[in-house]
Amino acid sequence: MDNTNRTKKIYMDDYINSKEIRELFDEIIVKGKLVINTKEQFAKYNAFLKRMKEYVNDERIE
Amino acid sequence: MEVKVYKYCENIYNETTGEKQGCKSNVKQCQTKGELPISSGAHGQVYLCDSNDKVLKIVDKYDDLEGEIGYVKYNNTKFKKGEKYKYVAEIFLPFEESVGNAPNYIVMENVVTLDKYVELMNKRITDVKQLFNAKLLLIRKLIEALKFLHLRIGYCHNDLKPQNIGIKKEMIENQSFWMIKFIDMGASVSIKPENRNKMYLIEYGDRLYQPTLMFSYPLILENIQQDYYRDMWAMGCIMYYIVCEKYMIIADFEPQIYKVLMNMDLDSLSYMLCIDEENPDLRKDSANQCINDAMLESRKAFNNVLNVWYDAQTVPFQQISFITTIIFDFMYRSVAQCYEKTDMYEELKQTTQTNGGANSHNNNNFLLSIFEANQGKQDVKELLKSNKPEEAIYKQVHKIVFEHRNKSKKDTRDVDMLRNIVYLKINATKKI
Repeated sequence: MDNTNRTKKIYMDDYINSKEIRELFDEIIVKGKLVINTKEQFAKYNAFLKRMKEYVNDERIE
Repeated sequence: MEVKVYKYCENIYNETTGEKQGCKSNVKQCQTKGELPISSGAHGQVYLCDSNDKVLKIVDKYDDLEGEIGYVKYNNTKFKKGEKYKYVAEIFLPFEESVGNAPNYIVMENVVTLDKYVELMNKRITDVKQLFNAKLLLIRKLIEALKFLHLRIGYCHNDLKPQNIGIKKEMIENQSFWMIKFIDMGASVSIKPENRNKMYLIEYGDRLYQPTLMFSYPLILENIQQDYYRDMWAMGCIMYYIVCEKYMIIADFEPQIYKVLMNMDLDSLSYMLCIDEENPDLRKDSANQCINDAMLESRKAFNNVLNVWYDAQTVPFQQISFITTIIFDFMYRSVAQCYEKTDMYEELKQTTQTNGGANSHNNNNFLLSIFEANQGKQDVKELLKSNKPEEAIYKQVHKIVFEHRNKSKKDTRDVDMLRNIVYLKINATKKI
């Protein structure tokens, strides 16, 4: 694995563990269950989902 | 100590005619004395009542009981006596004294939950053969119960997990039997005949759109519902839990579960079930992307249990293989490699593409520009700040996922071939 790929991989975990994602999941996970109440949460959640798909597909290509 | 009384009805619907008969003569009372709840979920709390024979579920708002009420009202004329609640804990609706004042509680049968039952089983049974038999019987009963719920009752649970499966002891002709009882039907829906072989999108705000992450199948990430697959995946995870007391899909933090589910493929599944050892046809590298440290621990525990069973010599190999095979069989259909090749997925893809709407193209471009893979973290942050997303845009997300999948490197291996390899691998253990 070259350096670029390694950076991407760290970047993905970095994103998952970032403060914004932690805050989002503190809001939308209630007792292990995904509970989305507001439009804003829904938008943020879908943005997260989209971003994750991108990362996963990137990893597959590598 | 404050005593609260909750009135509920028994047999609100006539068992033979299915008509609502009211409950003037069948009103019962459920009392709580201010004790702490025995469990609490995302929408409410559960308390013991009626001499611990029943439980009371109190929710924040009446709408949260839609699933349970739907099940009570569901097609009562279709079943023989006792069938509807054969594998579902009986639900009693509240007694409504005045119209328009909808009570926010229901009363249910009290049962022991599966997680506690498995814990007790592991503590009390020390003999390997006996413990294996108990687990095998439990797994077989679970399969039977799920099959009955899906095919005879025509209902899917949608939120299966050890905490939502109950065990109830029943006395029949002076002999005690224990029965599986599904509880918490809050996300359950009836399987419509047209949905039997179909996938459909879950809308925002739908009560189905509230999965428990550790037991939710990969399709949920695309907002897709398949009535049978969803429960089957969860049941596979539950069977895994019964075997080794560890969850198959687990992570230290919820977003990591998404990483796991998105990367889940047949290789990773085989790896978690310890059936890919030294098999050149199953690639290990992709498994590594999917599996985190917590899941490695689970796999280790699962492997240890299998080894103990193999070493004991008293447990037939075929029965061990049965357990691994059945878990694999319940789960492999929900893996992207398999469902992407089904007709129902293709059909859904076609439908969503044709119903795209006039602005969908622009929205896709907007999102793709935000999430370009080579963009730096700061750039993305700035973009998100300046272009705050709106809900309308995100209704198109599943389309972007389809498009993106097509661009990325696809796994072209034949699913049936892979499945057969796994089966051969499992069956090979018989000859050892």
